[in-house]
Parts: sequence; structure tokens; C-alpha cells
Amino acid sequence: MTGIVSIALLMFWQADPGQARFEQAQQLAAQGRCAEAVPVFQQLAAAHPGIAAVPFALGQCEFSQKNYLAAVDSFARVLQLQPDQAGVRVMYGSALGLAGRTPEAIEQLRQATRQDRSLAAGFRLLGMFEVENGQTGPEAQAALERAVALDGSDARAHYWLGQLHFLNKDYETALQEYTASLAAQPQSIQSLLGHAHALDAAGQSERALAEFHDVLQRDPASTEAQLGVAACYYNLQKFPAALAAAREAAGHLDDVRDRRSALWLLSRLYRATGDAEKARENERQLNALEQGMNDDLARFRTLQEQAMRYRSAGDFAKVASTLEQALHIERRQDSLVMLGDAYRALHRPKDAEQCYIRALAAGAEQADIVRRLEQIRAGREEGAR
Amino acid sequence: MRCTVVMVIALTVAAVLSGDEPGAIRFEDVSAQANLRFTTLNSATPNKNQIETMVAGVALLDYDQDGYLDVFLVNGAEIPSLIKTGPAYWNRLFHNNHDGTFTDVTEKAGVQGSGYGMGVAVADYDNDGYPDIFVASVTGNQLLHNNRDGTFTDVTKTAGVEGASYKGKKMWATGAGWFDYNNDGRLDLFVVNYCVWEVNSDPYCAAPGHGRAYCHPRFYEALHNTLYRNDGNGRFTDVSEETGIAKSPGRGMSVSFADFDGDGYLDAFVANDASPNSLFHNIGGKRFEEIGVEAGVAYNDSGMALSGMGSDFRDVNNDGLPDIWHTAVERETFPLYLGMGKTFFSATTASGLGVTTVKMSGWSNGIFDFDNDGWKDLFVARSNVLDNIDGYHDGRTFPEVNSIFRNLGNGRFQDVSRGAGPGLQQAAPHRGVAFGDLDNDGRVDAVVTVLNGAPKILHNVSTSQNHWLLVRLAGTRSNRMGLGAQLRLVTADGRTQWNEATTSVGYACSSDPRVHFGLGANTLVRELEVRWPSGRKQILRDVKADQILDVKEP
Repeated sequence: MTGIVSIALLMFWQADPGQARFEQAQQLAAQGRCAEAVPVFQQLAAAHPGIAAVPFALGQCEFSQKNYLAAVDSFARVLQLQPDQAGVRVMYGSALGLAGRTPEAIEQLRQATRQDRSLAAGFRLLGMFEVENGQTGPEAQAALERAVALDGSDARAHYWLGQLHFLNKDYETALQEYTASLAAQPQSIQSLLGHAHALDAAGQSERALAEFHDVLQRDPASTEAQLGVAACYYNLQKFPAALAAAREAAGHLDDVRDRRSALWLLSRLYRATGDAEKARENERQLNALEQGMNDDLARFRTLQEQAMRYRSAGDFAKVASTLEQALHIERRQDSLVMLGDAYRALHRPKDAEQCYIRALAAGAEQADIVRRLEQIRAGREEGAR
Repeated sequence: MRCTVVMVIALTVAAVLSGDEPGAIRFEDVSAQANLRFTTLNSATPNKNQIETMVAGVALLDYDQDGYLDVFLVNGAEIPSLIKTGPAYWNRLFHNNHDGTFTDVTEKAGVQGSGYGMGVAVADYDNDGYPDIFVASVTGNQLLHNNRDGTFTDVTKTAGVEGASYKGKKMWATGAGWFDYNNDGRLDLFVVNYCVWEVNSDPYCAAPGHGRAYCHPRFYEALHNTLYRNDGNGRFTDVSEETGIAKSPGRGMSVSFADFDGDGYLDAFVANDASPNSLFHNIGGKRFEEIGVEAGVAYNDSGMALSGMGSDFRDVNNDGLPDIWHTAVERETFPLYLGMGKTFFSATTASGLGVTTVKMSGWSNGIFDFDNDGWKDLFVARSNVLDNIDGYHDGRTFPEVNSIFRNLGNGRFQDVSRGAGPGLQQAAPHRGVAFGDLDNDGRVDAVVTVLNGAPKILHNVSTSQNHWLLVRLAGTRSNRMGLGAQLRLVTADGRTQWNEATTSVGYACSSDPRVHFGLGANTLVRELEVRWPSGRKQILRDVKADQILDVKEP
């Protein structure tokens, strides 16, 4: 990632005496001794607030220590000084995403990849955060395709493109991408799991079974692989073998991404093998999930309708408070836009801006929200002047 | 030599793609010459009323008992009045002229209807030998009694089947089906209800950049279904509560019937939209217990409730156990559940249907042996739900082509639609499809409805040399149409097949009550067993192929 940042950042030191300390701290960082380097960088940053190389080095150290929130601040500082540094913006976006601020990450990565169309990592991260955020539309696909076009050996870019196609139920293309990912990084368990799942979904359960077993050999505790084995045996109508594998996974369902699927598989296997009591136990949990989802949606619907009534009555404070509640239940793009509009009406531009950024990351609509975002930023700049 | 081989391969590939190879399933769209002048009108509005995207019904019935199937089509109405304000909105009945054309007999028959129609279910509820028509509607449902003279009388009120209410409002019915749940020889009526809905009051659901879209069904409260017991005097009693049917709300889209556990009583499968599917297990003809989850048919392989649409319930793998195939929308697959006696095995993935159907949106459907090879195939009428999806979802379109999946006889299905003729390549907002042999040539035809368009008559012109048998039942102790009978057939080569007598097929539609079998190369049926709803078993031996066989209950 460092390589993508222009060396130009370092050229502002000239003959400053702090340069020697900076270089020493950099050496520490290069040796993996960031704990020692960070205080030095922090002192230098305070002493030389105009030199972008310092917060950049600091941000890198904080990033490597997984202190992403601190890294976010450091990279933001670099970008204040040198907003054209697309490579730094990629790191900023990456730190934002890893700090759990996905919508802002996506916005920064969009900007970075617009600034520099050759940033493979930027395109990969943009696609990855979008897919993780449930957005598997054309933008995410284009970003990941650009990433693999720029760097065909990037295993992670292929993996995320595979994930995107898998989630879009295009299993054949997903298989191609997982295969490319494995070619670039043969030991990737994540890619092998993806490949196995895609094989099974495409109806090739025998081959998928062998791959899930392969994963289990490397990682015997993989609940996902155990459930994969169970699903393959189920599809092959080998119910006792499926149940044996599923039982192994049954105690760890809290760790499973797709809990509903696991509960349903267990229920059907217990039914097929005549254990009604155990089947009922799983069915109860599944029904509770279904009921919970319905209750949540009913509550969301009520809140959304209330918010629309408040909006008609011009009570934007109530619109905002009602939609904040609704968005805790379900993150919908149109609700986020409505909330942003309410904050604008309440003269809270910063909150409105955050809503629009979240909205941009929550759905396919872009142009209309970008327009709102530009308006609000222009208004803020106008106010600042 | 090499050139010859290449040419042979090229010709073979071309033949396969064009569907010209012997035995290929092939349909010809004969709508233009059939004179079926009808347009399904939904009165689409900017308010995106949920009902607009769902008008569908078509029935194939021999209303005048001349031996040929006629066509009845259901229509919408004006919005917001939900009234058929003119002939454009009428439901229509077309008489089969036996020459590939039809004559509109709507006015003579008196079947124009009044409200906003959805689906249709046909059966002879009074056992007089003539089929009657039930129209499921958003507004009042309608029961039309066949007067046996080419006319019908609206007996809805007398019969007491206008439609049950929920919170003071008549429930929106999407479809219905006739079956004899208590084996008393009289057909009872199962009405499928959808959701709580008010005209022009739908929640606002955004189509990014394209204004408003039809809302996801989860935004609407689910309704329970209605079961009417036929009391035998032209009247029906709502027994939904006492039989347990009312205990299980869902957004019902279709109902299909079969006796999945072989206990002699017909069970009901309801495909629900955005709710777990329901399987109503019939307990001795007295009550029903809903066992969709326990039986393994409530959810798809991911444990998700799908947007269930049409359904059919009959044996696809010739093991004697009825199977369920239902349709759903894109990214969901069209699940196939194979009967195992008490539970079902989800064969969606193993059959290849999962990967084949995952990008499709389906409405009405059916399980029929279109090439008469002895293995039942699958047909689905397709279209997206959202009429403005083209603009904001990559690659998805509102109109879709219909699809046929050929049963390969080894547990797997192959999409053969591309070779099934030009009529199958035309994308449209298809909704209903009813199946039946319109020209009595032993090949099952299809009539497909199109939202805001004319219906398509798909004439089965598959060129196989396979043989067939069409069985027309006449119950005596059982209901007159023999609906609910299970037929087992053994061909001369020793292979066994099963099929169900039912008109309740697909979404909002009603199919040929005659029971069809493809016989492959066999010209003789060694044994045909009819298990009547009354419990009687009747066996016929050495039946000749290629005939419409009348079987009367002894």
C-alpha cells in the first residue's frame, strides 16, 4: 500500500533538523517497532504541522497496529495538506472501512479511484466494501473488474469479484473468479470455501464435497466447511453422513454467517433421520428468526409511515427522530435520503451530509443523492466564506 | 472426411438449437389465427397499487361438454372504483370451434363479471356433469353455475362464497382450487387470500431514480385462506376456523392438492409470497394441521421464505410420491421438493433447477409431459413483478420469455426453451398459464396470459413418435369429475407412472381436468389403476394408447 503514495510527500522537509528524527522513526516503523515510532511521529506532527509526510507515516503505523480510528485522523490530516494524493485517499478509505465507517470509506474510495484510474488497490477496496455492505450492483462489479484488469495477480480482488457473482447467483462466473484467486494464492482457505460453495450451488455436490473436506483438513474447526459438507451430503441424499457433519457444526452456529440456512439444514436432516425432537428445536429457532424479521418490518413500516405524516405536517424534528428509530431496524436508501432532507430543513448540514453519505452506500441511486451532497457542501463553504 | 464430420456436428448442433431434432419439445404460437380477442387490463396507476401487477387468470374447461376445451379469461377493472366499467374489462369465455379458432361467447354465457378479477378455478361442484366457474377477485368473488345450455348463473350469494372478511373488509383472493377434503363426493372450495390492501393506499416504495415501485409484499399484512365445505344443496359453509385453515396466515398465491402421505385424504400446498409456504395436512377429512416447516417445504435451501407464486403438486420422478414444484422471483430459484412419504427432499440444487432458474421470475407453472416420453416436464410463465425494473436494475427486465425444463429421467432437468420454437422466445409480462390438450391430439398445449396484452395460445407441435393416453374420469360415489383421484399406469415395457386428477395448477389458473400420460414407445398400457377419492380402486388392463379414455367409477 505504501508504494502507491507519491514520494513527493517527503520533499517538503528541506533542511529541517527534525528530518533526522523522522528518518529514525521511519526505520523503527520499518522494523515493525511502531509502538516506539508513534510517539516520535506524534511529536513531529505537532512541531511540523505543515509537513504531510509526518501524519502519513504516523497513519501507516497506526494502521499497522490496527488502530484504525487514529489512522483515519492521520490520513485526514495528510489529505487536508495534499488533497490530490489519491494513494493516501485509498489508505484513508481503507482505514475508514476497517474502523466500521463503511459509507464514508466508500465515498473516499470513489473519489480516489476517480482521481487516479490506475489504483488497483483502490478499486479492489471500493468493490470489497460495497460487497460487504450488501451492494452487488454495477458499480461494485465495475470496480472489482477494474482491479483485476489492473492487477491480474491480486488474489483478493478475484476473491471479492467471485463473492459478488456468488451473491448475484451467477455461479459459473463466481467459479472462474475463485479459481483465479486460488491460482494467485493457492493456500487461501477463504477462496477455496467460496469455490466449494459455488460448486455446490451449481449442482456439483461431489466436487464441492471434496473441496470442503480439503478445507477441513487445513482448518478442522471451520464451521462453514462442516456445514458445507453437510449440505453436499444432503444434496446427494446421504442423510446420515450429512447429519454427522451438521452435528459437528451445530454447537457453533453463532459463528455462522448464514444462521438461517444452517438451522434449516439441521431441521431437515433431523426430520429425514427421524429425530423429531431435535428437528423441532431448530425449527423453533428458525421460526423465531422469521417472526423477528416480520415484527421488525412491521415496526419499520409504521415508523416510516409516521415519518411521512410528520413530513406532510412540516414537523421535521419528529421526522428525524422517527426515521432514526426506523433506520436502526432497516437501512434503506430512501429513508436515509428523507432523513438527510429533514436535517437540512432543521439546518443541521453536517448530519444531513452524513445521511447522504450513508445513503450513497446503501443502494443503487446515486445522481440525485450526489446532487444533494454537493448542494449541502456548497452551502457550507458559502457559509464559511 | 474431416469436413463431413464437421458438417454433421454443425448440423446436429443447429438442429438441437432450433429444436428440430426428433422428440424435441416444441410449441407454436397460434394466437394470431385463434381469434382470442382479449387484453388483460390492470389499469396501472402512478400509485402502484399492488393488485395491478397480479392479474392473471385463465381456465381451460369444456363448458358445453362437446369434447373440446374452451378458454375462460379473467380481467381487471378500473382503478380506483374496482368496477368493470365497460366491455374492455370483462372476463371472457371463448368457445373452441374445433379448428384452431375460438368464438367469443361471453355475453351469451353471461360471465362478464363485475369487480377486479385475479384468478379462476373450475370444477363441477354440483355433480351435474358440467363444469362451473369460480372467479377469485380483489372485490367480491363470483361462483358461476353452468346451466348446461351454454349459459351460466351467478349463484355467489346463494352459495355463500362471496369472500370472507378480515377486519371488516373482504379479503383479496388471488386464486382458488376445488378438492373434496372430506371425501363425501362433493367438491369443496379452497380460496387463496393474499394480503390486507386498500386502493391508492399502498406504502411509498422507491425505485431508485424512477419514482415509485410496487412494494415488497412484506409491507402488507398477510391473510389466511378460506375453506368452504360444499353442503350439497348449492350452499357452502366457511369452515376455515373449525378445520384449522384460518390459523396459518400467509400471502397466498396458489394452492395445489395431492395426498402426499397416502392416507386417503387430499392435502393442500399453498405457495406464499414472502411468507413460509404452507402444507396443510388433512387429518381424516376433519381438520388440517399446517406442517410446511416440518415437511421441509416452507423455505428454500437457505432457510429463506421465498416469493412463492404458482405451484403444482404431482409426481415428477415416477416413484409414486407426489412432488411439489413452485415458482418464485429472481435470485430465489424455483424450488422442487420431492416427496419422501412424510417429508420432502429439496432437489432444487441436485436437479439442476437451482442454477437454471436463479435469474428467472416466474408466475404460473405446471408439471406435464410435453414430449410424451413418460417423464413429466416443467413449464413456467415468466416476468418480473416490477414494471419499471428495466431502468434501475442491471440486466433485469419486466418482460421475460417463458421457459420449459425437460425431465431427463435421471433426476435432472434441462432448459430446452431456446429450441422450443419462436413462440417461446418472445419476452412479455406473462402471468397465468393453464394447460390442456386443446385439439385432442395427445399433446399438452398451454394458454398464457399477458399483463396488458393478448393471451398466447401455445400449440404443442413436438414431433416425437411417442404415444399417449388422456383419461376422462366420471365419478359416481366420488365427485363427478373425479378430482383428487390418483392414477397409476404401467406401460408394456414395465415402467410405472403416477398422476393426479386436478384442475388446480399454477398461479390463479385452472387446467384440463383430464389426466394425461405420455407413454414413450409403448402402444399399450398394461395396467391402469384409478384410486378414486371414495377409496375405491379400479384397474383396467391392456388399454390401447393414443386415445381419450372415459373411465367411470364402478
